[in-house]
Amino acid sequence: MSDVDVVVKAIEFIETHLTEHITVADIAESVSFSLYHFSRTFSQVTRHTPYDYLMRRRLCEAARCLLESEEKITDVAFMYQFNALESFSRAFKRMFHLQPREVKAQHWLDYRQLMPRATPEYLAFLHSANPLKPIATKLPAMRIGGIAAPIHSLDSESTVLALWDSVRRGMRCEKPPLHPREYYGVLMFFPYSLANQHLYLAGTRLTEDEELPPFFVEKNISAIDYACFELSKQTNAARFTRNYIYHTWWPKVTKAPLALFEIERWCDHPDQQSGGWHPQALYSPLGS
Amino acid sequence: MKPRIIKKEALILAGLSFFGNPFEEKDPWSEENEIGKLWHRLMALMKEHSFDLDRLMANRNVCYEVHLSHADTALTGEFEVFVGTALSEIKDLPIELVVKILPPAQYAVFTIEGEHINTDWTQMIYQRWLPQSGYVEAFPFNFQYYDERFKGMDNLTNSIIDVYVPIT
Repeated sequence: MSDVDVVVKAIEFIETHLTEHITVADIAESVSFSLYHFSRTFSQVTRHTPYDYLMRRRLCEAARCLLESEEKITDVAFMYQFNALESFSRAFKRMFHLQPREVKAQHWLDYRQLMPRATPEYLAFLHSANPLKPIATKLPAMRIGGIAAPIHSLDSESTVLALWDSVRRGMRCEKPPLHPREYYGVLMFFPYSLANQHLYLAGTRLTEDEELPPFFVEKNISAIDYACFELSKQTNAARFTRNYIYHTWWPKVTKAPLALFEIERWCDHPDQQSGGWHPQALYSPLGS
Repeated sequence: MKPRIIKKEALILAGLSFFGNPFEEKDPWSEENEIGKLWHRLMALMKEHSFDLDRLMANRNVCYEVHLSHADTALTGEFEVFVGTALSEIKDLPIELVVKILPPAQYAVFTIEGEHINTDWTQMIYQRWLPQSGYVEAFPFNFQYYDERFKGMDNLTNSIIDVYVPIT
């Protein structure tokens, strides 16, 4: 059995026991590993310790419960194995930057923070050759001109591709620039917007004196530092890299909430057969 | 997997200690786990203080990696890792080093060779050998004994280590 297979089996055990008292030793035993060897294998494959994964998944399911049901906060805390409301609230606040009562009252949470169950495909992606090590990068101040639309889920690939299609067709009517065009997707997340919804601007970088093409909107982005994650050509690379950034990388580099915007760099792969138009890199803002 | 059973006097070790889950990726810019970091720090300190330590060390070629469990280890997976070297006496130690004294004990000593070093021998010892051996764990720790037979993590094929499990 490969390391990924072992972890998939362990995750199955964790996910079916989120509302029961289980220990890391129980999880290790479920796959017939010692605690030491299991912790090492699990951490290498998922980039989380088993206990961290267990606690994060419990908190995410508890948050869903608060958002989607009428259960009392205390009942949810006990259901997900917190033996005191105080410890639940502290852990909840640390993960979501909000108190459970605020989430319950507002019926809102930054949905990007809800860590989904790690699927075999995601684990295989993490375990593959791509090391997912970001490069600290400064992007200059940019004028992005393009077409924006609300997107209902980060997985709405067809809507995003349709936007890009319009933008690229629009740009063909414009005078060709002196330099090759750079294309960026800007994702804007608004506090208290509808769950799972953000605004997506598919656009091109405009020079200082370039006129905004008709029907395009413009967004100015100041020069700031980003963590740049290059994307492989693997299926779902953008989705899986985002998952890694939101749930694994970001909580380790900062205690702040997720940034309210992200940038994607898009390009046309020379070999159309093997991919065509696709996001080449993700930029996660690190601050001004 | 058949161990030797031996008795050993108290062991005085000087080295460095970490408590937590050593495999937690705290710093996502780094690729080394906490055990690797401990060893690197220890080796750098031993080199830096080689003149002082030479007089105190029981054997320059021997190092120990101790894993010590505590009450919450089963629940959270956190434990203590200590890496160090044996001392003949505790005297004039560099301030950076801490001392761990392992009690006199009877040990089951397992010799692990080659690529087996990288496998789950802990499970073989504690879940398979110990329950049918007639012994029980005497203390919540075990240690790995590294001497000149260990050729490095990049040459496991030609390496040998001993694992000491205190039993009663």
